[in-house]
Amino acid sequence: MKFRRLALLSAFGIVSLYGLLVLSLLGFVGGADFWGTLWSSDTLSAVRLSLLAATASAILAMLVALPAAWALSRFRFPGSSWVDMFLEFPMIVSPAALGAMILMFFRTTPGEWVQGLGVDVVFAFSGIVLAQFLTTVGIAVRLIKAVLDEIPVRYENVARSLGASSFQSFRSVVLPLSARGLLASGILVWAKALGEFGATITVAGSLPGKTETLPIAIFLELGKANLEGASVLILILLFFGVSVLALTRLLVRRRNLA
Amino acid sequence: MLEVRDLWLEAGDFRLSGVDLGVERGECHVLIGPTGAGKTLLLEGIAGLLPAAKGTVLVDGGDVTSLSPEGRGIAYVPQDLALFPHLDVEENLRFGLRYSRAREEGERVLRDLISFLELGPLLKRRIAGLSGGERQRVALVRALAAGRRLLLLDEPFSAIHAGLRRELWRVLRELIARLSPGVLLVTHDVEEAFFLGDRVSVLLDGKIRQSGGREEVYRNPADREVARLLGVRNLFPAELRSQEGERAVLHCPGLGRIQARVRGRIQGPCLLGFRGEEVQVGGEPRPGNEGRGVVRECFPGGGKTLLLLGLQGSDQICEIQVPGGEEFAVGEELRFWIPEEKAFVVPSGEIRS
Repeated sequence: MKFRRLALLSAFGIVSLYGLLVLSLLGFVGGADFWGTLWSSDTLSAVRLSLLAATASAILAMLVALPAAWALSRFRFPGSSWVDMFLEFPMIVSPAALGAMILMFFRTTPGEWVQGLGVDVVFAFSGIVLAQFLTTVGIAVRLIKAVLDEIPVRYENVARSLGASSFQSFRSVVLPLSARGLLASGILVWAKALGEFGATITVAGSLPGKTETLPIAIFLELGKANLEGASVLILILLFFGVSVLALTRLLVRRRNLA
Repeated sequence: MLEVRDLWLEAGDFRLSGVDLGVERGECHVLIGPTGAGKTLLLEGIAGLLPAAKGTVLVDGGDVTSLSPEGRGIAYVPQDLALFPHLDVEENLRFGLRYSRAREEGERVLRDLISFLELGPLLKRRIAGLSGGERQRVALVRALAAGRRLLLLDEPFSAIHAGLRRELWRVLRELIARLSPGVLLVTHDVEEAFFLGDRVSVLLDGKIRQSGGREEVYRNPADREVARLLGVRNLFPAELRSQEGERAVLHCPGLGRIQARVRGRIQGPCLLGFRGEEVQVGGEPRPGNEGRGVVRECFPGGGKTLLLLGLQGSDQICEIQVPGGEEFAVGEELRFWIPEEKAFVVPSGEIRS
């Protein structure tokens, strides 16, 4: 009983910590400049850029992660445990280090060849997308694999014995059965991309209107000691974050009830 | 129609070795075995869901061993049926038609089966709202409407209660009579095996121990383990005195001289086997092998009585089933007769492989 109380206390303690952080933020919100900062062209530009980049990178990450997650969920192959382990890569490497590695890659021969094709990532929108993609794709594989693991392989087996090819059984059976889970995973990946900072600023810099995403804007406002401005931007990020979290929980709950 | 030749399959440490079996058009071949014998593994191997380590799978004479599951023309129905929960009944039934080359024929078969099995009122229902029996019907029709004429059924009736199970056995037999598919059905239920199987194969520890016609396997289990699996509770050590063709004379402690059927040439020690429900108890002396025993335990109920008799002059216990639910006193001496054609001999030595 004692341990149970301790565990509950720990859970409430963590929630209180986060609550305290949000409350301290509210102390800086509400000044005369609140609405002005909220609707300023710099803020709107950062929001638009963040939403666009996060959406593009999340879609890209989901598209790449889906077949990879399916393969990892359905097959055991030599080295599959190593592949599984490497998916943790963005979680164990600091985002700034990941960004630096991206920059270094574009200094190598293959990287220069890619740039020669017209792919310019340094100080560019594509750099934001690439940084966010590389930060989230491993997590996307993890999330999708967890969803696919819950779909019994028997459904695919039966579909194939009824004449569907491997891809047809995936499209007509696995995708519809995992749709809610995939959507929830996509939302979480999108939220992760939206909040990405370290790799993004390392690769794409902080050019206002061009590569200045919301997290970068917050960092720059703090650099100028503009706490009110930073708090407005944080609130916007919080709004998106809490919204997607609520949506995800709703989707997962419906999936569990279904 | 289906011919499996020397098929070897591996899953982890388990190995299915050297399986030979066949299924003809319009035939139900039942594969019976205990849990863990490799029944599901064998079906998955035949369906192409598991690569064969060795051997050949032929369908209508064509080698399909290297073909993908969708190219084999074999429908696999797993134990839980795997009806697609995101589709309604009609969409499930039509699933295979999407990929069928003979759609018109499939539509005709589907219409016929929907009418025959009275599935019309269920078409718009969700799978979650179906009863166990309805699900079985939908799964069978879905497989047949996909143009598959070879069905692999993995314990399809195991989760159904006894009364409904018999009705579904009848449905399956009617479907086989109507469309002549070849069916390979696995089960661990002896009654189901002998009700449905035109041919019965016994799978134990990854090997087919016995295969043959329903009556042949029922009457002549190949060895002790097969006999036990097929529900033979009475297996007693015996000494072979003489053998002439398929008739043998044995001496069995507690039973004396016994005449029984025998399959092949018996050498060395053997066992006398008979089924408790085929023994006749009490009344006037009858032809056959007479035995005497003392009632050790009596379990009346359900219109029959299960008796455990201690055989005279030995420590052997004989299990007998008497119809009628009559009660017998413990210690009462009973005479019983084992019909000669119901008694059989199996080798008692190490299991033949």
